Amino acid sequence: MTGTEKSWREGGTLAIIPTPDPTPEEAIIRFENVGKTYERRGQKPVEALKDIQLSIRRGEIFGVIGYSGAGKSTLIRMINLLERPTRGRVLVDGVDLATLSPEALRKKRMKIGMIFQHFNLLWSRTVFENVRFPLELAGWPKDKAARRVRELLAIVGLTHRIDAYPAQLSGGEKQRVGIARALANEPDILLSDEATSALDPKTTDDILALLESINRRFGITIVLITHEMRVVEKICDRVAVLDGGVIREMGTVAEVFGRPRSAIARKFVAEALSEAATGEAAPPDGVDDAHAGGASEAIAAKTLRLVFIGEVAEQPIIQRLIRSHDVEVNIIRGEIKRLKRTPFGTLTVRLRGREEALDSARDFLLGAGVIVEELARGDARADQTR
Amino acid sequence: MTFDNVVHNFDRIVQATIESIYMVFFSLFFAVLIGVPLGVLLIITGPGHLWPKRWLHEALGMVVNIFRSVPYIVLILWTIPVSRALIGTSYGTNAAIISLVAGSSPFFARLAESAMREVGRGVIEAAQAMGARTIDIIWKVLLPESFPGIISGITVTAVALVSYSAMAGLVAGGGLGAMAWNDGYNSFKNDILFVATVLLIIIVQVIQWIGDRLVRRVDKR
Ligand SMILES: Nc1ncnc2c1ncn2[C@@H]1O[C@H](COP(=O)(O)OP(=O)(O)OP(=O)(O)O)[C@@H](O)[C@H]1O
Ligand SMILES: [Mg+2]
Repeated sequence: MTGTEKSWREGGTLAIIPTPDPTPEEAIIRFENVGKTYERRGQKPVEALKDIQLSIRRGEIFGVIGYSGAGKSTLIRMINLLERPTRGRVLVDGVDLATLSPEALRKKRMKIGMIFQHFNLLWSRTVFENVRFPLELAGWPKDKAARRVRELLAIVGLTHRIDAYPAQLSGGEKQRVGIARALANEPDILLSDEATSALDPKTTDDILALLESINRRFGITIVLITHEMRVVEKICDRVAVLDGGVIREMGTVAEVFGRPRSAIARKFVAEALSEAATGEAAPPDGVDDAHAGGASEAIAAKTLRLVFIGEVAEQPIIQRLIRSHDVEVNIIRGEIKRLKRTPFGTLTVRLRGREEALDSARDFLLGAGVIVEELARGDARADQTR
Repeated sequence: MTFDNVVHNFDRIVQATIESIYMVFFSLFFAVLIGVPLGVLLIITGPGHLWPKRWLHEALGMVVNIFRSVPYIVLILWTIPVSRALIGTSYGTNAAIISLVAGSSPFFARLAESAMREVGRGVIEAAQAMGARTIDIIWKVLLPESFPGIISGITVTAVALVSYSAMAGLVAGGGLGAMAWNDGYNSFKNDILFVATVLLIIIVQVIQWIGDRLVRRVDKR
């Protein structure tokens, strides 16, 4: 652990430009020391969220990732006050919803759309009537509402299903209805509570693409929660990793998943790279047995995990390494992915050579902007389990 | 068995059938009128629902349970003075309707309540997130979403009312039940007893048939 801790810090001088937290003016949503404890009669209180500090920038897609029970739903539901904070406050556009009158809260909620894992459509209404529902609540005249519904259905690509009932739709189509409904009153914010968790990967991609285009076209701030890293990778600008009611890490997706610091973020990265990116076949580090006992020119071997982010991932760094250094490079595992905009690769390599050559190879990699993590055997194992 | 008595009393049989249908129809009407709001109150005052009111919830539940646990024949006796006070007599189909409503509204309220319990927490929250008021949620979510369940509750109540109305008619006078008892059994006219029974069965079948069709039509799940 200490070894890796060191290497990310060394790698910290690299090409990643950490985006600072939004300034108070940029922030559309702010959590100020927010905590939530559920008290149930006759039950032990549950502290679902502890001291959350969070600023979400206007117009961004912000992801909250965490495992089941981490407190994700509790967090997102505080933004439209479906859940009340027990400590601290949540500001939306500078307004603490908890202080509003019921009527003012209603008006504010109309400007915050929400979509759900299980869609939560009305079975008794057609697609058209479902999408019209929020407009009815807002008191739109019938003909104007009908026009708006058609517009919305065109945006989500469901015009042909306008008279169908939810029971006749596929999961992806149901979520499109959910999205159209959430956008009806032209909200500034769209909250997504595991909106793709009930969908297959292909449909998930379609829905994510739709969300991204909505974010681009209308500048709607999207806050989404998920337990899947692929979702965050695909469309989020920034991400917070939530675990046990605490934000363990937060930053741009490239930052957080490029050099995960917390154990929980590593777990997500390891999951996302379809197999753990560490070499399970790697023998223990140090002097290679076969050459041990040789002269002073002992051949050593090291297993390194290299993370390439952004431009770095597009350069022939390994090739240059081999050319300029007297080391043998054995690639154990590699994977290139693309985050929303940032190419992102991990490579696990085993380097063999003289100690000095290995050290200089490592310096070369660091100098080229690669994040280098030396894997001790125990580390490799830790990364593989889950 | 000959049907001489039936032929001779044909007009009275028709009359009794109409009285039975009249009693079932109007009791059902009032049972729904009282039962739906009662069901709504029972559900929304429950813990963690739209309008949690513990005392109201428990008080309503208790009243409903008391009415439901009193045997109907005893309820008839208890409503005799009520009928006298309300309509000036304890005799006739209108008096019977009073006890029928007293007996069936709490029963139907429970059926409506359980139909509305089927409406997911999720849709209610979705509506709240869209800025719906409690009253909007009742009218636009709870009731329409549970409509098929409510219709089948109405059907069950109507069928129960056919049998209750036979009993009520026996005490208050009127309907096929009274006819079966007075003109049939007590007068040793088995053909009238038989025909009255068949007519009651037919009424039940028709109610069930209409109810099932309606449920199928409104159920979009
Ligand atoms: N209404 C409630 N009453 C009591 N405890 C609750 C309530 N809602 C949530 N909790 C508890 O708070 C914690 C966080 O729950 P939350 O639903 O926010 O988690 P989550 O990250 O959304 O999980 P999942 O992925 O399973 O939906 C859990 O321990 C949960 O049991
Ligand atoms: Mg959740």
